[in-house]
Amino acid sequence: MKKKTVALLLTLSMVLSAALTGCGDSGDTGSSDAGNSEDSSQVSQESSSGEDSGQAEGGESDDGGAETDKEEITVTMMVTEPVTQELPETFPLLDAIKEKFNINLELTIVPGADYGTKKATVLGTANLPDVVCGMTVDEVKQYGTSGMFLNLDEYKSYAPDYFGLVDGEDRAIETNKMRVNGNLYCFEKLEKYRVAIAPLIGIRMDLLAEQNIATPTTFDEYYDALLKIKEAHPEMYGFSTRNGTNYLIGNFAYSMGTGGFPTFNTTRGMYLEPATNTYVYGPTDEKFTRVVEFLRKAYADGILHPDYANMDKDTMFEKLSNGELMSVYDNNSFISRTYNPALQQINPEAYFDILEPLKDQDGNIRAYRYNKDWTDNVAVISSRTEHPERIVEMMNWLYTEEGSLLSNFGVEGEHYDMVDGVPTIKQELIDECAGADDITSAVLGKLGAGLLGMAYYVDETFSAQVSDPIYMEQADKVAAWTEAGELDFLPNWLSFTEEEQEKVTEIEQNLSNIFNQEIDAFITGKKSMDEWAGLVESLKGAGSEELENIFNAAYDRIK
Amino acid sequence: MKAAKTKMGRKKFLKNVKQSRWLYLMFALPFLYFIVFKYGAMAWLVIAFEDFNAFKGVFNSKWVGLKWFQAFIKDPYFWNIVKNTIVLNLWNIIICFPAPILLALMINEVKNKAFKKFTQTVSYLPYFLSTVVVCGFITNIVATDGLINQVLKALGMNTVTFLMEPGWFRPIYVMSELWQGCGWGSIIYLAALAGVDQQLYEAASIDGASKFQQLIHISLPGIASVISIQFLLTIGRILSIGYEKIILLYNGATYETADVISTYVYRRGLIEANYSYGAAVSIFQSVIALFLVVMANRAARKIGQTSLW
Amino acid sequence: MKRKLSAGDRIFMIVVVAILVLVCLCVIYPIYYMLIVSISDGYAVTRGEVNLFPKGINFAAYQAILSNKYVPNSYKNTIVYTVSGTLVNLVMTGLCAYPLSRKHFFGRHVFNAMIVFTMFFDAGIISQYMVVNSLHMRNTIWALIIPGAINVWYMMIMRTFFSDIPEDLFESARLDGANDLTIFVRVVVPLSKAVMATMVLFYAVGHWNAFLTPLIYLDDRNKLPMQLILRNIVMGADASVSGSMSISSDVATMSMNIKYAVIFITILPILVVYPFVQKYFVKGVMVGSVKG
Repeated sequence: MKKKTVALLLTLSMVLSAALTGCGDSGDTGSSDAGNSEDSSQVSQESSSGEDSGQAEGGESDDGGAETDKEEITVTMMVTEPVTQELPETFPLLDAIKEKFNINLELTIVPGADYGTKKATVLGTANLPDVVCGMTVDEVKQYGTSGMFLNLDEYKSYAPDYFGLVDGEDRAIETNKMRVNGNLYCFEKLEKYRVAIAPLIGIRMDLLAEQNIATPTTFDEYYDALLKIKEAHPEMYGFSTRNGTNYLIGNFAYSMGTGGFPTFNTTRGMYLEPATNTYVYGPTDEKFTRVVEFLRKAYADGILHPDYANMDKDTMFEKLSNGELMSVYDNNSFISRTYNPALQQINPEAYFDILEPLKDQDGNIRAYRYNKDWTDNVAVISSRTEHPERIVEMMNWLYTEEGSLLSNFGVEGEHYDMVDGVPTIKQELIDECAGADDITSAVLGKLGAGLLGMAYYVDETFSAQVSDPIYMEQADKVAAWTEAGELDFLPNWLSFTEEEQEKVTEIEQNLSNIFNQEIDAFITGKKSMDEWAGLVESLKGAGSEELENIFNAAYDRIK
Repeated sequence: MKAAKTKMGRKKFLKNVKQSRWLYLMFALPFLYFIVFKYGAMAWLVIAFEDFNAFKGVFNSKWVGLKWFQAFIKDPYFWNIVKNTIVLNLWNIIICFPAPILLALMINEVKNKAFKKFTQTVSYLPYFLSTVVVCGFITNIVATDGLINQVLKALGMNTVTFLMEPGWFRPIYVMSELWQGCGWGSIIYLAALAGVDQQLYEAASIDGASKFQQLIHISLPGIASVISIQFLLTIGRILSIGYEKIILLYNGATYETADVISTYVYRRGLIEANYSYGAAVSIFQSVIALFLVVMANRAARKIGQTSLW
Repeated sequence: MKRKLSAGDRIFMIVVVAILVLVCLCVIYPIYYMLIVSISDGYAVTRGEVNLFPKGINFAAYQAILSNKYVPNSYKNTIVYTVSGTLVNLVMTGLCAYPLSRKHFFGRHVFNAMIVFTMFFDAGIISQYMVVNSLHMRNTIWALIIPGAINVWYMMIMRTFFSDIPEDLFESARLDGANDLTIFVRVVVPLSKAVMATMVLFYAVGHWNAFLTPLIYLDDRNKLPMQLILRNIVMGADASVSGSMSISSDVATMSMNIKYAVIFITILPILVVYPFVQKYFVKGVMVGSVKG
């Protein structure tokens, strides 16, 4: 018994002391803004703040020599470890940065699955490390107005290479859309070379052949093809979607000559109509009824899978690979690499192939491919950092030829060789990763390189080097269709002033509540199309036109 | 502390304090804990009255008074989501609250030790499944080609697209809660039943009471205080339902019954990160919950002797 | 002790057992299904061929999880956090619940109300983060075990149990000259094995499954607990990183296996520990102790 008491007391005193220290400085901190604390003190250990030797030559240091005369600093950086690609403890890029900039890059590596939550905490408490990577453009816009990010425009002279790219003719408008109140806060991941990718219709070519159907080129032909297959295989369904109704609509609407809920965006009905170069709220557009009629008919005919509204990607995957679905609207890469091998386990003849974007009723062809550049994977710098110039310089370097090569391929001679001017990863490095599920991410994972690593001027040459030929073949098709003007890059989302944003949030929420509650009733036939006009009326009543005006005003500012 | 006002009162006060000195000593740490970690953190809720800017901090953000409360209450969907939250919780109270008690009472009746342990262990397992896994399971079972529809078909009935029917949402949600939480919830009652005096049962059975009578007159009263505490706390949650499970199970077609406060706030959060709005909604929920609990507690004190404070 | 059951009692018992068997079946089949899926061939699973028996048995999913280089270390972290966290929980909850259960504790209504109040005005995770951060606890074990030291709900339950202990037990101890602390340690704790066991279980499971607090408080990858690593593995199998990623069919078909295998890797230790907890649920704890 005595021993127990002693143990208890010991534990007590231990806890007590911890709590007391806690109490000591908790008086004002419980509620105060604690944001200005730890991060910066970590940074400043070895620096005395006033001086900055880099000021003078900072501007043109892009491929200048090693500047080891700069004092050593530590920069904290939060990155995510993508689930598919590991980030090693140390990798060539970190050494290069140390050597070139005398910066110790201290990484906080957060598991990718929960990165959003981690970011929300860090941003919501303004408790940022010097650099936060892996930000989405929405986050930049949501928090940008608070002033917690460094305005890169003020440090333009330290980032000539980056600004050279984003202010270039092909990017300027899209970059403006990333600006918050006119300020650019983020380093985007830009594409140097990218394996082209787009969400497209993939269809069971073996079934088309079986039923003697020519490859569909219009939506009508597509639908007839599905009907004909359904006659022969009544247990099959024509198509379905993951992620719910809006996602399904988003897939078809743009191609059918209208729009709304553009790719992966299931909350927003607005889209940029290229014909008029204005923003339009899709559901109130006249042509939108085409989409609804199409889905409605498909539901009635058993073409649209009845569980479409609640399928997740697992169920979709299952239904595609067990042969229950005839077609799918998904990324070309998924279609070739993910579904076909599984499908061929049951039926070696069966395979999906992508269709060229289909003609709508007016004979026009258009569809989205993903944004140029990776706008949902950007880096921001804390405005409280003690070394803004040197960090901006370092980030800028990633966009130079030297930095881009290092961050995409590793060290020349050690990890890659230049073959006919093309950086080629050494074979022995590839062999080391032979057993991996995915060679590309295994190799790049070792180097901390590439899109999912630390590259900001991304070059996917290596991915092309090792990928399935069919994958590359499809990428070439996507590229060719883009050339032909059939595929449009998904435009970036607009940014608004604070007052606009408040209004936009309110209207969008109201619109999406009305729309979401009604739309399935129209698709499943519970409501007749005569009632559609009523829905349009109530959407307009909830401010869809005002929303369009706000969008177009914001768009006019940056055009 | 009002007692300290008069001289007599002060004496009594000092005596009381002295009598409880060891208890005060013990309570010191927990008290500190609540002050620092609960009340300290609570101060942050003041952002509900501000246009909170994380960068400026709580002290320097703009004061907007009741703006966010008004925005929430005047929302056209306000009544619907409040109603849905309460109705769903009432379903929970009617079905999921008594179930673990019944389960515990039944397990308690089992004499065979192996069977008893087995049921106990098995019943709590679902608690450890993540929401995503459970919802994946549900969507599969109620799918058009899922288990339930296959049974319906075999019985010659029409298939139902359960997850598209507003009327089916609550039963599905509550059944899944029941499946997942019943066993785990029963643990607390089993522990309480372990404390019931065995002599009472022996005496009763000598008097010729049947098993069922013993259950009603001995077991149930034996755990009554735990039940009432649990019940009062459940009342306090009548306005809160986690959004994780619902967002995996609902869709536009079932908003009518499935959209609750948390999911509504969650959807808004997708468009903008407004911490002030979130705090305002949570204060709203808290105030109502507190009011209900105070009322329920008053009733409980009249009926039995249990009280939360 | 053993008497012959009356007809009524027999029917009662049959009903009870029948219901329990039904409950068990409802629970077991899904869990069993997950188990067989986790060890079956991924392609067979997608084709819907795995219903009652595993097909193409293999342990690739388990291998894939256990071969992850972070898993062993994170498992160790989880054990450390769980054990130390539960210990702190138990001590703190006991210290809080016992005084509040004593009728002569002056001011207990005020304290009780003060504590119950915190249940309803839970300020949420961000504000707690502020507090933890200002106490310099971030990225330390303290951030995981101190802020959640007392769960009010559990504390209430413990308090209720304590106040159900017959008053005469306290009286006899007090006559022996024991103070409240000694009474707590010598009389109350031994009498409360069942509730203590329950608390251990509840708190330990909470720590075991925790992912939100470690996620926001810990910055060092080597300090992360298992749940975070496992979530990441599951998500990796899901490959929903970004819309433009593509995964090979083999990986995709394994996603279901991994998702379910993770469940069993998580549950197993709890299954092993549970019987030890269960033995405190035997009847008659109180009877035995009155004698002593």
